[in-house]
Amino acid sequence: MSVIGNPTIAFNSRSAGQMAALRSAAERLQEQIATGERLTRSSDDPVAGALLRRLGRSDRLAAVERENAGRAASNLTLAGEALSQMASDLVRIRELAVQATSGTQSVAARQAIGVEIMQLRTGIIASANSKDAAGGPLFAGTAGAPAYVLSATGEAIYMGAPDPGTLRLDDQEEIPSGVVGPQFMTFSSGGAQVDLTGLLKELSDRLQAGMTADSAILTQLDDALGTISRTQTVVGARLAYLDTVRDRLLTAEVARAQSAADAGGVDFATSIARLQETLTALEAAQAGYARLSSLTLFAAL
Amino acid sequence: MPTALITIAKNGAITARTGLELTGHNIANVSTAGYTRRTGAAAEVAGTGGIGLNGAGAPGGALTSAIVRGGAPFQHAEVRRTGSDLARAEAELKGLGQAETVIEQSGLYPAMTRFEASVTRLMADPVSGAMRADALEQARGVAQLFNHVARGLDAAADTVLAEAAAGVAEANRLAAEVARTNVQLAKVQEGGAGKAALLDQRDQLLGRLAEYAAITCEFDNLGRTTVRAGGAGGPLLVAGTQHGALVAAQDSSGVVQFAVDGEEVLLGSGSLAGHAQALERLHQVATELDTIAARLIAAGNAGQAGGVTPDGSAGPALFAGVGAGDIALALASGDQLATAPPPSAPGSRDSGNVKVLRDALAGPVEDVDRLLFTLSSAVGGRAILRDGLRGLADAAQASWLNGAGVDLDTEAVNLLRFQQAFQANGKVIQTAAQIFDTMLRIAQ
Repeated sequence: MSVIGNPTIAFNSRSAGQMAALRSAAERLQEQIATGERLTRSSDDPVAGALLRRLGRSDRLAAVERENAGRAASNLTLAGEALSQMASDLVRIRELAVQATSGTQSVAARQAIGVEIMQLRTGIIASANSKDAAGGPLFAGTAGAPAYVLSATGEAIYMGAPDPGTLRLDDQEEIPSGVVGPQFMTFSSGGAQVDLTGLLKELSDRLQAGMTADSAILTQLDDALGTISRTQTVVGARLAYLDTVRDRLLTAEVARAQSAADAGGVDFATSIARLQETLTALEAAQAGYARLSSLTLFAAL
Repeated sequence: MPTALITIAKNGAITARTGLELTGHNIANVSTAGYTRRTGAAAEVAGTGGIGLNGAGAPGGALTSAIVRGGAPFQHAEVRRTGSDLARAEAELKGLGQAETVIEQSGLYPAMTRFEASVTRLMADPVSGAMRADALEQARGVAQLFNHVARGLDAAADTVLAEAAAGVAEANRLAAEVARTNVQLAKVQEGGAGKAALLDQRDQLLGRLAEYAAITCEFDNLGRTTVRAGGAGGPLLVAGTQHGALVAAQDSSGVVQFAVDGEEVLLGSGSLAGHAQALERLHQVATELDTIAARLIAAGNAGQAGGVTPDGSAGPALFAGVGAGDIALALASGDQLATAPPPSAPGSRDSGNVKVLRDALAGPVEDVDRLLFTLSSAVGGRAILRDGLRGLADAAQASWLNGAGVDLDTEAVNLLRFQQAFQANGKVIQTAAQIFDTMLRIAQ
């Protein structure tokens, strides 16, 4: 007769092994619940680990890209404000120019108008030299210096770069990061390129010298206003686009968070149920072991 | 005739007492590692010759002819084989796990993505001193982490190498013990308690030896072992009373070779084989890390060289060094980061070269990710293999213990059985004495 024995040493080591396995499973579940992470190291699930790493990297980069887009948006807002200021200055200049072109004004009045126009011109140049949030010039493109400097003769000379520079929003997309001074400070009128500050200086000088202004100036000022409002439209459209981009980055972030939760997150309901199940099994195993190991024939001898 | 009865009962009592003693011995050794259950092989004693009533064919009772060890030898061979496989898998997994821990827990990958993010941030405002300083510090952190990981991998390899050296020493000691046991096995009496104890010792030594190195064992009729390292054609590690010397040597490519007395041997299992595999893998990982570091150095420096710093000069090298061990930040200040593309005026806010730098960084970042993935897949796969091998080893151990282990219930039954047999034999002696007395009274 062949007897299947249950050697004591085997029984004890087997029971200890089983209980240790249950215990470590329970501890692992507990750790997962406490940290909210399913993986403690990549080798727990290499594919999910790699996915989490890449999602983490994308998250970090996307956060910076969103930050960059925000910075660009705030600079565009500042540019928009500067352009509005210039537009309202120009509107005032046009009013004054209308008065100056009529022959009813006295010489002194024309001179006063010339002085005011000169003041407003200074204001326009100051607006064109506005600074962005970080203190850099808003309309000088990639150059670090102020956009316009006044020459000894009072001419405003553009010192910035011709290129507004580009801003990369994500891996693929790049937009011009702003507008440069010449885009709105020079305009075409009557088939010729006209420099706004030069035109204003000429007008002011003429008025201050007591002469009347040529009525053609009104058309030119209208063209200048048109250029500025076109630039405002460009800035506004770009701002709206940046909002779209930021929304898109945010949506992508939410999607990534969802993927990360799917790959490495813990489903609490399932985990807690499994923890309870494991603990019950462990308790049962311990009770069973205690009962079985106290069963000895020697007690009956 | 009564004397024969007394002799029979005496033999029976001795057999029962031997049984009791063996039962007691088994109970005492219930949790002794390597102990196999002993039973007495009782054999009938029959008279083989003599004069008168005690002639041939007369019954003589029973005597314990030999002490038998439980457990089947082939099952122990299985225990050795599966134990050897498990030890290899565990040693390899431990080495690989260390490499994974060093690379993953060091946070090299997050540090590289932080550096990447810092460079990306420069795109919005390339002349910002604070952002430049941040990018520079992140670069420094990456360089230092590469150094740290390289050192960590070296330390892990050193640990495994030290373990392998200790394992070789222990395997040689065990081989010497097996040879000594062979000497003693030839001397002890067949079937005695000493023989059984020596065989236990032999099995235990072979089991432990198998955990270090793959061995093939052959046994002669006295129970002496011939041990070959590796497979059946491997070099002799123990032959009779002689034992060979196992040595391990690592070449420059990280490969560990084993040899017994100068004869090269391929160990397919045992912890030494696992250490060798782990060392090879650690060497590979370190080499790969060096390659990645070299690529980062080349990409960073090329990116810098292709750009212009805010003071208008060409960008100096970003990193110094040739590999993970010696990579270091070469820039002294953030102002030396070449953010503008050439040709650019001093102070340019053109971020064209930042894009080049950022794109150059993406390659090494993905390389680290790939390295981690390969390593963690290897660790994950080997953990599953290890669990499988542990199941096999446990099963082999269980089936060996089934025959060889002490079952207290069986021993309790034996205790009763032999006690009763002893008492019964005592009764026989009493009966014989009464018969003898009866005889004497008749004679009076």
